[in-house]
Amino acid sequence: MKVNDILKIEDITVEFILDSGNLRALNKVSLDVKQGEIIGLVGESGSGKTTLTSSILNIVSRPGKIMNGEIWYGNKNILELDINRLNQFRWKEVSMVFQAAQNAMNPILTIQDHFIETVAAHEKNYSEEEVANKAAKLLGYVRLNPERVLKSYPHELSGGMRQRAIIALSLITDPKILILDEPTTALDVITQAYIFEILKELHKKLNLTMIMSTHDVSVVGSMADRIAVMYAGEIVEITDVFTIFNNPHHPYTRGLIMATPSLTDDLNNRKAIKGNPPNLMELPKGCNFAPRCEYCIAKCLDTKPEATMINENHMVRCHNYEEVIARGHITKS
Amino acid sequence: MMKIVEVWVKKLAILVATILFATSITFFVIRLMPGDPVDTMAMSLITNEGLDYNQAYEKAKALLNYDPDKSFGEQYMSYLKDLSKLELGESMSSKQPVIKVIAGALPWTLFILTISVTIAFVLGVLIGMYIAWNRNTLIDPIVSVYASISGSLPDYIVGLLLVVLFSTKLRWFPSRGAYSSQVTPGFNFLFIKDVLYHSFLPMLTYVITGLGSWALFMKGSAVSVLSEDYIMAARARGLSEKRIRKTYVGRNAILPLITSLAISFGALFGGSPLIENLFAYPGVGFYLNRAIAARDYSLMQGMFLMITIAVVLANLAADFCNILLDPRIKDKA
Amino acid sequence: MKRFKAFFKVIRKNKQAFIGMLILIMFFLMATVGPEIIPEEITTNYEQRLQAPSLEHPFGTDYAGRDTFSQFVHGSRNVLLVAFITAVLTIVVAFLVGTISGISGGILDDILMGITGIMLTVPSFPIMMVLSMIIRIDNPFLFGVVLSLWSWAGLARSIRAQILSLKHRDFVEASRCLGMGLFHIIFKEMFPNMVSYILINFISIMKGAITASVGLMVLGLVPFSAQHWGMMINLATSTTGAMYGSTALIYFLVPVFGIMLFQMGCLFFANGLDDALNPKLSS
Repeated sequence: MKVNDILKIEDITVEFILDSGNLRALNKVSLDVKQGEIIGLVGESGSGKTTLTSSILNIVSRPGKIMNGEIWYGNKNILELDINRLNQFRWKEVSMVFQAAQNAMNPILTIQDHFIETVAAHEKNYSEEEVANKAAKLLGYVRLNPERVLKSYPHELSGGMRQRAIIALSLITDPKILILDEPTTALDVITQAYIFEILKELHKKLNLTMIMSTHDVSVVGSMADRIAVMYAGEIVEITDVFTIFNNPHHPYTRGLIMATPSLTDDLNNRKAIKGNPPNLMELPKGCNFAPRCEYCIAKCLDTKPEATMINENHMVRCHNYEEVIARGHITKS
Repeated sequence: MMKIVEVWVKKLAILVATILFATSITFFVIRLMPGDPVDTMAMSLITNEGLDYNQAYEKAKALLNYDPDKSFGEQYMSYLKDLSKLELGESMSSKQPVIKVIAGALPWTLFILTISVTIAFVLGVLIGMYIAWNRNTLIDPIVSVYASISGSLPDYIVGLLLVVLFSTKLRWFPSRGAYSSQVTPGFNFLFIKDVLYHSFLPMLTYVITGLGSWALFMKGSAVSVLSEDYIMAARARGLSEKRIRKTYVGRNAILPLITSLAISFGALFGGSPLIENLFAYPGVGFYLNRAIAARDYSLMQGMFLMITIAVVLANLAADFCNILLDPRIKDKA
Repeated sequence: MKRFKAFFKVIRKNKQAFIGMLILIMFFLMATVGPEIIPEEITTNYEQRLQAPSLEHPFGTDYAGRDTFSQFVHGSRNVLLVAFITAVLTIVVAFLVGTISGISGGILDDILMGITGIMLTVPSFPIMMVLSMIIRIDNPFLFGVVLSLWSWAGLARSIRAQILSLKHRDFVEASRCLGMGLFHIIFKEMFPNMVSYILINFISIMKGAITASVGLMVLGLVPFSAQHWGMMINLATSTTGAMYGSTALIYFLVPVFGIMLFQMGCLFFANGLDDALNPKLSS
């Protein structure tokens, strides 16, 4: 483990055991997260983003199961912690803002109750007043009015307010890593932008490490330092955000960038990625993306590509990435 | 604010109308009976009390709250007037004021029902919760089978079977009455022991019949709560399983059951004639049945009114509980 | 025709519904064909009273020496007939009230819902007890009418709720733009989907009607017919003291198990069908 790696995910494989067969949601995924960075996980639905982030907290939903792999935090493997230590780890070291945050709170408890019970689960000695004060401070960070919000029940807040309250809740036990799983999918564009502003502030203020997963690459482009692109349960490319946007090496990444509309560009220059999303129960023999790939060569249909390190910070999983580079940088006029 | 008042005014109006409607039915029944009930009663008064015809007729009119000579409208008005003063007349068969009979019978019915319903509910909820929480147990199919069988047998049949088994064959429990004639009523140990002994079979009947459906109901409710997002979010926050089971699943799952509880209490009150008749248990239902069989109109009116009031109050309680316990409804109401 | 086939496929797949249907069909046959096949025994034969089951009398004999099995079969006709009539009347009234209330809205809706509210709150069994005093119930139709008086309210409410939700659905708005009347929409769009809903309710109402009718007979308030199962129970407990004797127990248990089996059939069919048509996400 490098000196400034805070989390090290190694060869995680997750399968969902269904009546109709086994669905492999993650296939030997590895990822090193550097302390203090914001890393974006980009991929379409079914690519495995949520499964990966759930694995970090070991809350993969049934019937999914982590078959093998390790997740190292410090010198401990999270996946081998007993339930008590796991509960201590959860939220105190790594916390998460969920995708369906609208429904992430108990309808019969007030917002304040949520804060207090979370602290109670982690500390033996605490005073409710202190927790309330800290909660008020955090609510202030996310630009909510503590007096009103703390006493409210979840259903009394609007969607955007609930989302921000959840973000505040995720910070109450001072975690080192914050995972955000599609944090703004259900919200309108203006609230989205607002929340990203808040997240940027929090990152600076609290020196948080953030893992942000989304299907919308443009959304994460403004915030992330690095981006990992996922497809069919594998990470197909990881590098810094500029390279991802200007000089992607993987055909899928390139396709994503080309398909994303931009305000300054002519829509006619956009190109959709042809083909259909992969059927995770019947993956092809060779590369998972081969059926849809413009750069597909014979080898791609036959052998699964290994991870190639272009340089220390750039990984690509493709047989034919040289040709992708040859196409040149992506310029948007 | 206005909306709340409007809703409650409507509710109250329906309740009052219900009581009026129910009591009016008894009013009409008496008048629709073949023959002249006043005359019939007068005749029996002449024989039993040695009055002459006119005296007997007057007395009969008073006892029945029925004067055939007055116009229909006048009769109804005086009937309602007496009702509001709680002048329910005198029972023909027992020569006691109806109010007194009701006061004597009501505690027995309440005694049996309250204890039985509480036991059936608490046991059912605990079992249902257990099944939902620990999936794939042996108990699950057992409870389903049990619920199918107990749901197919009306409660009075279960009672009959219990009597045949425990009273007749095994002679373990008495089959009639609230207490034996040898015991003196009062707050003494012998009496209380005897009362409990006599109440065992009727209570067992209610518990056997009700247990299964409460368990299934709770299981269904708990299972659906378990699939909610906020349960997973609670786990991610490191909350203990105990806390989640109690405050997250338990309290949310039981909400719909509470309303049912109040309503089923009312329904059991309505069904009391059957069980109380079977066990010759001197509750409200027992006396209603006897009054109908003996054509004791005043007693019949009184008992019927009592049952209706009980059901109405139970429904009201159901509404109240709902509003009290579920913060989401508090605001809608 | 295609709908029927699809319908039966659903039932066949769901074991619970299938078993329920088999049981119900068995009783249906017993009620319709049974009395024609099995001779009715009216002659009393006191020497043969309260016999244990034998080849000649599969269920033994009753207090007057009559074959219990034949009584059971003949009684099934009355039992099912009353339940059937109750269910038909209840559904018709519930549909009328619910549909009218839902479509018209306004004061008519308020009044009808007020009446429904009252009917729901009034304790149904005691009222039927009281009514039994003035109405001499001596035929199944009358019995069905009395029973259905107090069972339509709940169904009417849910039908009204469905109509109200339909009223505001998008495809209704769209259809209205195309000029189709609301009535037409309800008939063409809603009713076909409600066949299974009606069926489930029908069976549930039958189940409740049997519980109520047997209850009234056990209390002796409805001297309907000696062969109705409820009456058999009544006679078993009162005149023969089945609770105290041993052979008389058969006479008592036969209608009890009959009721239990039929109710189970109803329960399985209704629940199974409900499960099959509204699959719930169980983890």
